[in-house]
Amino acid sequence: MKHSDSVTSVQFAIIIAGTILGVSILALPRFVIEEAGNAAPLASVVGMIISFIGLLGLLYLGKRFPNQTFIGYSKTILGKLFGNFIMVLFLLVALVLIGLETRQFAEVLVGGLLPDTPIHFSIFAMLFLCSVINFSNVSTFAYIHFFYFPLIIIPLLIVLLPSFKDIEYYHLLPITGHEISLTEFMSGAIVIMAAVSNYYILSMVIPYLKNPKKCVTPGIWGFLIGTFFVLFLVTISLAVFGEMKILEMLWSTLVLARMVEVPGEILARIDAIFIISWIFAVFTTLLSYYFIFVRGVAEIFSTKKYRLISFIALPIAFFIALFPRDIFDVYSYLRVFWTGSVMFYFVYVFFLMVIAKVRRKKGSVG
Amino acid sequence: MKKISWLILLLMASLFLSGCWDRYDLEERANILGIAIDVVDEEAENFTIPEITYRDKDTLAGEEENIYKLTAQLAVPGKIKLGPEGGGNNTSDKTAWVVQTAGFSMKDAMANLQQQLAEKLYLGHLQIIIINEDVAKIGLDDINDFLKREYEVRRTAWMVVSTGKAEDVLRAAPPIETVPSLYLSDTLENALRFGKLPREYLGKFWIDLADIGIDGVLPYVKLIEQERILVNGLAFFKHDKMAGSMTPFEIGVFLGMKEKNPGGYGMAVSTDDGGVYILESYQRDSNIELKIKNDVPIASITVEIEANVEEQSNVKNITNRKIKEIEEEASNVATKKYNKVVKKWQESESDVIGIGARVRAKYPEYWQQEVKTTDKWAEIYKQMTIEVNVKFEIIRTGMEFK
Repeated sequence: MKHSDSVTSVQFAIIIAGTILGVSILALPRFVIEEAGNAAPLASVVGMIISFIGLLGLLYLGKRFPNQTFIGYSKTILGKLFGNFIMVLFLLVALVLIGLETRQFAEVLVGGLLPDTPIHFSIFAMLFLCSVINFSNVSTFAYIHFFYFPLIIIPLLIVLLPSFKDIEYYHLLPITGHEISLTEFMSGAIVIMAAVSNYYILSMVIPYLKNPKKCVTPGIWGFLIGTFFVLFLVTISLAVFGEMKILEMLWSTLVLARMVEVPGEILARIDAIFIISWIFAVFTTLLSYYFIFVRGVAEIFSTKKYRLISFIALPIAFFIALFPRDIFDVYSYLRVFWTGSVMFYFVYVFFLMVIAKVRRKKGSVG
Repeated sequence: MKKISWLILLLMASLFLSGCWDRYDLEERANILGIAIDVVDEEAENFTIPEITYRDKDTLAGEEENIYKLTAQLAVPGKIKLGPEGGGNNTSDKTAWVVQTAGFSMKDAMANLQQQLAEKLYLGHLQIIIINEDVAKIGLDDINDFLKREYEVRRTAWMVVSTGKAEDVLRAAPPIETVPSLYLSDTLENALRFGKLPREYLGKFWIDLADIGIDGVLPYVKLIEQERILVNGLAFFKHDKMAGSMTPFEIGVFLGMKEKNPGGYGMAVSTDDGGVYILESYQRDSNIELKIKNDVPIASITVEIEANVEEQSNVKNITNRKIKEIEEEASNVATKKYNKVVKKWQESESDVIGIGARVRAKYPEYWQQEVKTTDKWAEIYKQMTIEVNVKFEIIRTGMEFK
């Protein structure tokens, strides 16, 4: 199968980085520190290294099956019935995550920006926006990512760089944490693994690369850029606030944005700009999830009715988003799905690799 | 089929025409620029608290609660004439509106205040929170909780402790600025730029409160001549309670040890021949070294100060050799003074430079085994040896060479 639309290497890298930077950047430092305490930066590095291994596995599979997506080669490797079954589960989780992440996004809007706007509206607007994107064309999707990426990272840097002057070194020491057990340390690492695990979007894009065989280098670059910002954010947040203060706060990055004073006092409040850029980050991440879901469902049913699928997904995601009763519910559900799914992907990728070797399955040379 | 789908699309599009739910015109908002918090003396001042949040002495489970008196300075653009600036004899008491209410807590008082006003209270422009010394001594946790929870409050606003009534400070009427709160926060903002105050605004203060092994400080102000404020030192805290205050000179000491730049405080030094020199710090550098000896931490702090000679009286004899003598003398005097100030902090168990946090960072095992709680740390801190060594270095002498 030849694809008319294609994605360049740079776009490929940016899709990965843009997907990694998502909703969770607002509360991520707290999630990690809740588990790993002062050892959060170290735990993040460990989590990223483990994720990196998963990334290499996924890239290897992409290289081995250059013309197929994740869904496609799952079917080839595991057989039609079993492969489809696992992929249906995978897509359902993606749909639930769309719902929950949108809800988390809407909670931030209501709690910190637009208190009188009904939450239903914020959720609907975001989901509607995602669903009207034309999914029949992968290069459109890539262009959207490419366009928003600078708008995400520049404000993030504007918040993070001036924060350097508020760093207290005693917040970072000792880097192994105060009486952190190995289990706590590893659950901190798992939080980071979950937060960056959405790099698996790459497995849906590889067949559309100009040269799918050369997916490894840009894939690694995209991952490194995305995770660099995540690590940077966790470290700076910890260095500025310290463990105790972060545990008090709901959205620590937002508070960090409120503390920043840009040199020269051009802007009194940077947090409004930061929130806007964060909305872009949320949008690109949700768009990637939506992309996985729509393209995935279409591939399972071998149809091209992308628009129909995306409009059917819209109300379902909307109701999932409304399901949690309060903000504590939102986060406890998210936790379950994040950790559950990251474990699954990680094991599944290597499972696929082993089976592919054993059954000597290989992608057709295109 | 096609017509129906078009119709559905059009109906959906109408959802986007709803406008903005959160629109509040500027003139519908009561922008609170400054808040002053005092303790009310119920009998003497005859204040009654309306039952709005219904928090009264019955619901407090027998706990004796203080009643706060909250004074807020409002600016309602378009409703209160702010300008023309500097034109005529508009003093600031006419341009900003000061309202007052009382409550059992911050939220209670704010709710009472809202009940009296037509405009929606808006805290997004809050510049300064003035706290009466007595309130600060009772504890700030309850006040802070409301301010932290409220998303409108800026973390770069100032919180200050006042000698005497906080409301009087808020009512200060500077003749050059139409809104007093803005003048007050400018005073602090500029003091920060001149190196006379640490960067200790709300956000930073809250971080220090939450941290283990460090105590917060807040600017300590005093109203003079009903129109401006004197930065009279720093109030230092033990947990959320004010434990004492430093003089402005001691702020210099504090800033020196915390390595906060630029320098701003001067110190007078006299030599044997009767000459008096005022040195103003220019750049501060400090190094805190910690050791554990026999299960007791020992801190030795080396402060290096680069200073300018700002004034010389009685004599006229600055030479290369004389400079050395002045530097030595200044180092001696400063070392003595710094040590005295540190003793004072230790006596009031207020760890403002964060020795505890540093010990905890550097010797986590020691902290886990010997210290554990902040109360235990306060005990250790009180008795531990802290040695300060100050080295002055004169780098410039101004436009005069002699």
